[in-house]
Amino acid sequence: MASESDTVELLQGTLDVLVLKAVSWGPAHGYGVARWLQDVTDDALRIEEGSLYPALHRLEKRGFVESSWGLSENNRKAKYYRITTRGRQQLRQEASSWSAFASAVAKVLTSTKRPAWA
Amino acid sequence: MPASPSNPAWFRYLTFWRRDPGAELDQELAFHFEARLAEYIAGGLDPDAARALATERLGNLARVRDDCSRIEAQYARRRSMTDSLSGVMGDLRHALRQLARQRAFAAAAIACLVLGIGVNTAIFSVVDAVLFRPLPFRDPSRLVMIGEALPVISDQNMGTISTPDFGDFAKLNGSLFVSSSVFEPTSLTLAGRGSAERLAGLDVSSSLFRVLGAAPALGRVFQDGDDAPGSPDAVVLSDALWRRRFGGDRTIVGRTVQLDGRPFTVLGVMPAGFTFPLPGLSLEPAAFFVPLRMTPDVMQARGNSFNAYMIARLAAGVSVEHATAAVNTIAGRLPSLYPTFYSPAFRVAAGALPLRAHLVSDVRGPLIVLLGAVAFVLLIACINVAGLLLARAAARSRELAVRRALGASRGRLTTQYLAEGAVLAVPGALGALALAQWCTGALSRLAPDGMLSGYRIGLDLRVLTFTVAVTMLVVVLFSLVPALSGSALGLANALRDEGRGTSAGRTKQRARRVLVASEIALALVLTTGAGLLARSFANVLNVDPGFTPTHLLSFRIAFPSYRYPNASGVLDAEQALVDSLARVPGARSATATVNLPTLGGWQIAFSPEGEALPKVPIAANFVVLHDYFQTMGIAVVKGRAFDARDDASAGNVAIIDERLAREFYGRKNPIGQRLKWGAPQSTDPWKTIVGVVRTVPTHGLDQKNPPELYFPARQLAVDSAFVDAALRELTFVVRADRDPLALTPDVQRLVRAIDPQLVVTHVQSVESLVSQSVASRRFDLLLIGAFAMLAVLLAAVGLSGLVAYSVVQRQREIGVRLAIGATQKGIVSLVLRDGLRTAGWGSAFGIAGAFALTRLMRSLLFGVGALDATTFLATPTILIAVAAFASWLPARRAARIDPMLAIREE
Repeated sequence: MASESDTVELLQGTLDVLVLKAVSWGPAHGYGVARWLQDVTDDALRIEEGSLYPALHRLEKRGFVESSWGLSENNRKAKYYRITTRGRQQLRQEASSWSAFASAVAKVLTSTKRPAWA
Repeated sequence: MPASPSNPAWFRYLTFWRRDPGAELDQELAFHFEARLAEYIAGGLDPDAARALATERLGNLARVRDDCSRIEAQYARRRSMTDSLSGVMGDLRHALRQLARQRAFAAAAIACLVLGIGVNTAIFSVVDAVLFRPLPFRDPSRLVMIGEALPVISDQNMGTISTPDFGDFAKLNGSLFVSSSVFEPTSLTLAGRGSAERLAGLDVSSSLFRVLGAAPALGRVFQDGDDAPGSPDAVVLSDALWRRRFGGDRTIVGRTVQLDGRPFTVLGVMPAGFTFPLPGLSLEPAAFFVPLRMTPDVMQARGNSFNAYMIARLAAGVSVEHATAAVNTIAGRLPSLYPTFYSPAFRVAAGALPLRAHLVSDVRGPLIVLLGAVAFVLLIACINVAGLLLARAAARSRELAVRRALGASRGRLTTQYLAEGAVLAVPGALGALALAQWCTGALSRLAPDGMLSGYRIGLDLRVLTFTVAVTMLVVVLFSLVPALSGSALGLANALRDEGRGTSAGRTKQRARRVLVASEIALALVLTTGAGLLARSFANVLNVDPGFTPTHLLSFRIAFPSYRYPNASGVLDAEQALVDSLARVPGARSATATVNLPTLGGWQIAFSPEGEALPKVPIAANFVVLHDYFQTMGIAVVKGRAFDARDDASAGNVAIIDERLAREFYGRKNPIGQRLKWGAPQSTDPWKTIVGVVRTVPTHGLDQKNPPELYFPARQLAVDSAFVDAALRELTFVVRADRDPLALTPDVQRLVRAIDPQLVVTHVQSVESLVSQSVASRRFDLLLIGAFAMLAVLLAAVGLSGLVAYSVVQRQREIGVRLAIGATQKGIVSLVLRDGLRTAGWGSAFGIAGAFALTRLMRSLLFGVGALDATTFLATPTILIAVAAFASWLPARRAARIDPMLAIREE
């Protein structure tokens, strides 16, 4: 049970960073965020798009993004999310720790150094 | 793709109803779904396939909704807190705006609060200082006074002991007492720089300062051994004397000062806050402290005089009852231990009294009554403000009803009322503090001598806390009245009620009527109390003093032993001075006495010959020089006054007052009967009664006075230190043919010419002495009377406001009445009846309240019952008259209404 919720936490956290990065380019609605993530990853992540919305709402409550209703390109009513100053700080932090984590993992996986026991 | 940076204005209306976050989420998801769908269709998929693909891509929507609502709930609580805070701020802003619009209303309400809270704060600061604040000693709750009682005279604890008995009680030190001390009033002549000065001070055991836990500001206080017989003379100065006489010289410690012709080494100076003895013991504040030595002379006074005050500090866990039992046991053994001083029949009892309770026993009653009276004033002020708010609520009932209809909860409206109350209360409380500051100053000046001096009265943290607490209570009280009556009123009722001008606000008007009636009831109770006090005061002033206080000058002169070593020399000097005083220009006659009427003084036990009385009676002991009765203007009813023949060589004589003659001799002629000092077994010589005189008020016009005995000073046996001291400091009285105080310079000159070391003190006209004896009664009457007047004024304003408001409400009805033939007189009486009906109900409840409450002030009354019929008839009459006037003002305005205008106005 505990391990399962840990996995969810991790996924959520990762999704939050991706969403923050997406809106850091400029105000965007949920669909826009989904499209951008799809484009830049060549649809490698195959995110369940509905889960973007809890992420957006959580970010809003935590003060990292603001929302307001606006008109979409084709004149439809849509909710736009805009990154706040605090959100940018958060993004910088998360991005650097994610990079550190990713490079550490990469170092392990690409290492040629044989361990002592082998 | 980017949205316009600022939304069009109309979009705000979309976000106005933020009630349902779920609906918003659905909108977002719908947009997402449709955008995805459009993309797939544009990419060439057929609609059904596109729909299936988009649905799959969105995933489990139920879980998404669940997650979002959980996030929403998680943050909702935090938001609701900030929401309600901003709600309160909004309420406060709204209330301020309301008040700015209605300045007259705000001014009236704030004035009521300033008066109500202000007088309460002032009286509380006095009551707190005297009754509640800890005495300025270390751990004062453990301090008790030990007093003795002589059951053959009275079971009443005298509050004092016979000095030598201290040694016996002090045996409890180390067991029941941590420590104990004794002190006795004394006076000494201070000579040196400037003229000689007679000072009141205390003889104290060296333990006194240790028992009180009082430290000196300079030098040291007495230590064990400083009061041993034969120890060097030493003195501790009070701050007041040190500053006044020695200019605050810090090098005074170790130097000597001349007291009664002897050099005393100054050991130390007490700090400014140390006022001792505290008020309540009827002693003058001590200018100095000298050691009380248990010399053979002092030890001779055992069982003879009871003038020493004993303070003990109880050991941990020892109760006052415990201490009382212990000292009573010791007192019971005194007669068998000291048979030469206490005859075996002379039982002695003793008891411990908590220090605070003992000090305030005289002032507690009046202070509690005063506190009650100001509480009534505060209540009336609150009701006035509540009434004003209620009237305004009635005027605003449509606004409130609309807000209710739009969904404002009852709690929300109550918060708004509280905010409005707070906006009124804050300036009210600030004004009240300023008023209280002024009042406490005035109270300290007005208070009779010794009632408040020695207490630190003023605004401090305790008083501020009280004010804040009272203000908060007041806000809650008067804010909730309109809130409650508002919610009692049905919503539809309010909307309908307000719709028709004729019956407008009837329901609220009824609530206000109840408030005003209760104001009148409260004011009536206060007025009745004030009336009873006024009647008492008049009765006191009507008491026949039995002597003629006008044109009498009184002053005291001490003949110290270093100048006049033997007792008969003192009397010679005193008689010579009296003879010279009678020859001062403007003087008619002069005399001297130990006691002066209204000042109390020396009392003795006495025994009439041949009568077996259940108790040994006590009497005021007037030891006088001759010409006393003539000078004082006391009529001799029977027999003769003292004259020059009554000296030591002649037979011992006495004069009694009419009360003593009536109580002890009845119809018998007292002339020629004999009596003596002390119990029937005493060895004192018999004294023959030669005259009966009018009764004078020994303790004061309104006091329970003992019978009076007069003896010629020449015939007194100077057999104790106490009698010697009493005869050395007489009060001289000169009857003048003009303003008696005008004789003072001549008197001073005369005394200086006789002996420059003699000091004239306590110069006063006897008339002012008599007036001082009723000063505390005058003080109580003044305050209660002022509060009653304030209460009546506030209640009248309340009633006038109520009637005026109802006239405005009934304007149309009055217009109709006038149009169909009612006379102006008829309208006036219609409106008057309205006001008087409220006043009548209020008075009825007020009389009932007064009936229940005036008995609490019985101890303050004199010559009048707590249910005095005159007062109980007069005060409602006065209140109804005031009510009639208060209603007449708006009634007159009502009669002048133009009927056509009134009817058209809707």
